[in-house]
Amino acid sequence: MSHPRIGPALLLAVRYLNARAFATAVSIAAIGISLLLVVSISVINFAVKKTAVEGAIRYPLIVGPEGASSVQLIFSTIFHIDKPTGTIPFSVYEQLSADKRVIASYPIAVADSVQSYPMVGTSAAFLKDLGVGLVSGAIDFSKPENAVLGAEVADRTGLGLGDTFHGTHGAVGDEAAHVHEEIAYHVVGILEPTGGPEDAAGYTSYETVWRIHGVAADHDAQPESPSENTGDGHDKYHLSSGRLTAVLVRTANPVYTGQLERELTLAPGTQGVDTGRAIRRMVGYLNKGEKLVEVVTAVTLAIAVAMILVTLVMSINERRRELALLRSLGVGRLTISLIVMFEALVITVFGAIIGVGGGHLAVWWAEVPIQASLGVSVEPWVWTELESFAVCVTLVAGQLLAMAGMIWTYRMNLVEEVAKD
Amino acid sequence: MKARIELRDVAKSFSDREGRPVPVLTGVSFSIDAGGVVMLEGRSGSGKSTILNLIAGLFRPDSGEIIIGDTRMHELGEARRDRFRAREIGYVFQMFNLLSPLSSLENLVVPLALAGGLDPDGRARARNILVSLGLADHLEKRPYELSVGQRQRVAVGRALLKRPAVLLADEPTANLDRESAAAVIDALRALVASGTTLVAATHDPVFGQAFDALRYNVETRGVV
Repeated sequence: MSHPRIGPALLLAVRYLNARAFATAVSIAAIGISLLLVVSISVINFAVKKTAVEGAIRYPLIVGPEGASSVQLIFSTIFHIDKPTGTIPFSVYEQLSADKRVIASYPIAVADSVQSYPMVGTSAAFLKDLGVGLVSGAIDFSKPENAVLGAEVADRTGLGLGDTFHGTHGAVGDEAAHVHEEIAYHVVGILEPTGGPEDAAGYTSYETVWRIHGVAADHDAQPESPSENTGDGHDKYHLSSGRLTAVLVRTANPVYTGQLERELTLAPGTQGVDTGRAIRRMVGYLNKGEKLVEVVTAVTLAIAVAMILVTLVMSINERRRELALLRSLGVGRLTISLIVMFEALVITVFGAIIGVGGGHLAVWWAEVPIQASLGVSVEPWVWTELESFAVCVTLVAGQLLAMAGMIWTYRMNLVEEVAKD
Repeated sequence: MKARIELRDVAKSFSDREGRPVPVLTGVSFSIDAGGVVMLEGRSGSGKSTILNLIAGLFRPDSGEIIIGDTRMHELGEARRDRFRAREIGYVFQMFNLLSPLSSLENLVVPLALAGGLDPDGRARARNILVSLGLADHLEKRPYELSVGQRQRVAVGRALLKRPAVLLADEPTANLDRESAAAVIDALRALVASGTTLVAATHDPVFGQAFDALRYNVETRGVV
């Protein structure tokens, strides 16, 4: 077939699709919605896995209060979602800092928030070792009111360098939450955006957290109780002096990670979590979820394609007379089949474009709620393997559909239609 | 191309629902020189349209010969008959003659483009043809927006655009008012004057008498 026939064949295909606009729209929507779901799920999954794996690499060991689940501890400490699961003595951090198997350890004390973003009490070393650059200001915890904000927090709250704000004790929306008027935070630094959980948190020194909670930063005065597990209401967020919600640990090698995990889990009131192992388990669940999504996608697409095939065949039958007219005007079988093939391709290609574009747009639109609920900064425009799979399946299905329509039309005896007149 | 048409002892049958052959035509023979006109006469169902479809190459005869110019149509395969029809034959039907999603202008241009026969100046010629058929205000209208007479003129315009060697017309003026029928007749006479051979099946005496034609009665298989 010569090239000049493709343009008019495509024109006629588009006109026929336009003539049955509702059926065309439903067909495109069926493909589009299937892809939209899989794309948005895959992009969010990708972000969760990426953040989890990066967290596991950075902090092989997390020490928290006993009794909490490892996933909950990871979520509250690395992702800054979920509430702290309780507290441990500051002495645990001190012991770990002195341990030769430990390269670095960082105290974490979370009790307050600013407009739903957690205020993380930690050390200046934590932020410096994070390796995140600053948009403005400095990492300076020399004064108790000093705070450094993640990029997302600064952007969403509108706080800038030199601004002051009050923290809220507890999570926003909790009945027990109230504003701490005792001390106003002073923004001394704003981190560059990383796409990680640090974007969605504010940082101050752990001593400041203690101070805000009414006790001087004198960790020597710490209570002897090894663990203060959370209760309900206000106590859930109460952080006594000399206590932390967790300690993040970088070990010299994986063997030490295992040793420390066991030792800390055996010690009263604490537990060690091998982040890598927990994350691997979590990623395993996510992968299983993705497999399920793949199957659902394949089934949904198969149903959509079958529906489109039925619609296409019905529409071909409805216009047998017009196709017969084309034959009588000298248009060959192959060219007529090409028109039908284009119709199927236009539906699947448009469906794919709408699905992929819509999926990414949906994630972009829901970026803030996703960050708030999952604690990960999603990259709305990232292209995932699952997405590639889904798009390939769609296009292959579309091609098969087009071929089926083409063969169906090619085999039709349109000349009989002419004979009826 | 100018084409003489010759049918020699052509026979054609179709199968009924049980698959038994039902003869429709037997022993059809006539010839017409290039630029001539043949009027096929006979009652409805006598086989006039079947003869047109055989000349168009839509069917192959069961027996006999159909020769158009130098081309022995009855010996060609389907694809070659398609190509020949696309190149040399115009067809005006009584009914179902336009493509519903296309405008009048597109109904002239697109089928010819799909058949691979559109000249570079085809679109401009198509516009001029429709204007000459009195359809200047209807170029962008879809078939459902046109009257029956306007639709038939568009169908004739499609045949004119092709400048075919052979024009087949199946009841081209049936259901048309006098004015529309006159416009169609004028257009076909102009085409014949340019050398096109016309084979028409008609019950319309006005159309039949508008041409100096050979009249072939399909039922008696004889020239009238």
